[in-house]
Amino acid sequence: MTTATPLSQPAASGVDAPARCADAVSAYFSALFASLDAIAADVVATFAGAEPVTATLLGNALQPVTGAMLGAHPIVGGGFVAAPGALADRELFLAWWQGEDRTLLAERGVPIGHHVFDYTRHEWFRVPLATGRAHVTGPYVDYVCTDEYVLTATAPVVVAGRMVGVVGADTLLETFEELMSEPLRGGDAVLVNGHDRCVLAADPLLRSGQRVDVAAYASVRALPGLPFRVLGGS
Amino acid sequence: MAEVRRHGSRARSAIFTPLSDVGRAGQVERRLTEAIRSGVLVEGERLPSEPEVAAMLGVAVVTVREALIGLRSQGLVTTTRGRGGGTFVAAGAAADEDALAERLGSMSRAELHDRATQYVLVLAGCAELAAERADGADAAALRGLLAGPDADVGVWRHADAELWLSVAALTQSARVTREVVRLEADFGTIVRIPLGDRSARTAARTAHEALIGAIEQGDAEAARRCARTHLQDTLDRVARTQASVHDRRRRTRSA
Repeated sequence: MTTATPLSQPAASGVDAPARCADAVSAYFSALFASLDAIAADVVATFAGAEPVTATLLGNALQPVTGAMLGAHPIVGGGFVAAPGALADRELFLAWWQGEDRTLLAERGVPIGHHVFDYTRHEWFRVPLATGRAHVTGPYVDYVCTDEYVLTATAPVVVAGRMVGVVGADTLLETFEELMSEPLRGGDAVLVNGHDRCVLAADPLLRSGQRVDVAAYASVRALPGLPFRVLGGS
Repeated sequence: MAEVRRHGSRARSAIFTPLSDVGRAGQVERRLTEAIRSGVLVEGERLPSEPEVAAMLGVAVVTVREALIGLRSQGLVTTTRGRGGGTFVAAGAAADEDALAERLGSMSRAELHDRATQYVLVLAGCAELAAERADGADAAALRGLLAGPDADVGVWRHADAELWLSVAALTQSARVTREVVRLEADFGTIVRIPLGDRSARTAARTAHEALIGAIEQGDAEAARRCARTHLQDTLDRVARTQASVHDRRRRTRSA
């Protein structure tokens, strides 16, 4: 395993690059999670109705609010992913729209109970359900849905004390890199995820996804509510 | 604001990329047959609706309908009507050994070696980089994909495809992963013919565990060697099977 250590020569900068970076990352995800809350509210409302919640009913109910989120953020896809057994007519279901044409993914799961292609083992589904809290997974290559290198923001949805699934959104890493290029510029900041992997770094040689030796950095700043930390060399 | 790329690529996009020659039900049928036989589309999985498949492949809905009739008559899919209905990959569809032998027999020996070289090269490279870039949690996730010793052949083939796709994803490169998705859609059926044999399944299980062990240790050299040796052994089995299919065909022709 190759791990990275700080740049030996931090770029001169009068501004606190790690702080700038932390603010920008927090602002991006808090806006995204606010949109996800709106979808979660529609999920809860749908489950509160008199009708049994079917894939079609849920899909129709969530399309407008998900469309609004896709219009408001530079994301590649998003929506709601049902927990096994939450819907009346499907074991697994994704009310998830992605791409230019906002294609509905519908289902990737297997109705025979076999574990493969079953999204429930993936971090973006597993962690929010286990912790009851919002999570960001990645960067990782999502070969199930987008076929892209992405960050997936997800939050659990609880109805009457029961987890019915997660709301979520995928951001392409290349989009996130572009959005964060200004906050990162001219500093020595490294954004790492909960697995100590680089998300983005000022150092052009530090690749996204690369493992980082966190202990080798002088400053470590946690981002409230996110599984991210911003490291600084000095 | 950053320019956002939102292209609509889907999982297993290689299966659903537009066909060059529009309007051929036979082509649609062949491509979906390949995907089912290779385990990319799995038993019990619902196919997209007829209009969706038509849109993805760039053909008319009637063409898709015709292809689905062909798939039904091959016993590869079943269609149910009404609420929760749709077209599903049939039980046992992937395990038609005769059809696999037929496909292998129609391929030349040179083509098999050519494809095998590409497949081994790409996946051995993936294993090497995966070992450099994975952590313990990644290795544990790979272990969770392994099929049990008593799992049936269809489950085995699917689990094997999923394992190699996951190894590819651990390179952290979307392009490399898409290339492996394409290889699997194209050649995966052939590579997984030997898994019909219990002895090959046992050998595969041992090799998979060694590979995951090497990835867990971060031993890139060992991971590459494991992948390469195992895949070459698998493709040697395929080559021997192909030789016997070719022999059988020659005898049938001369009889």
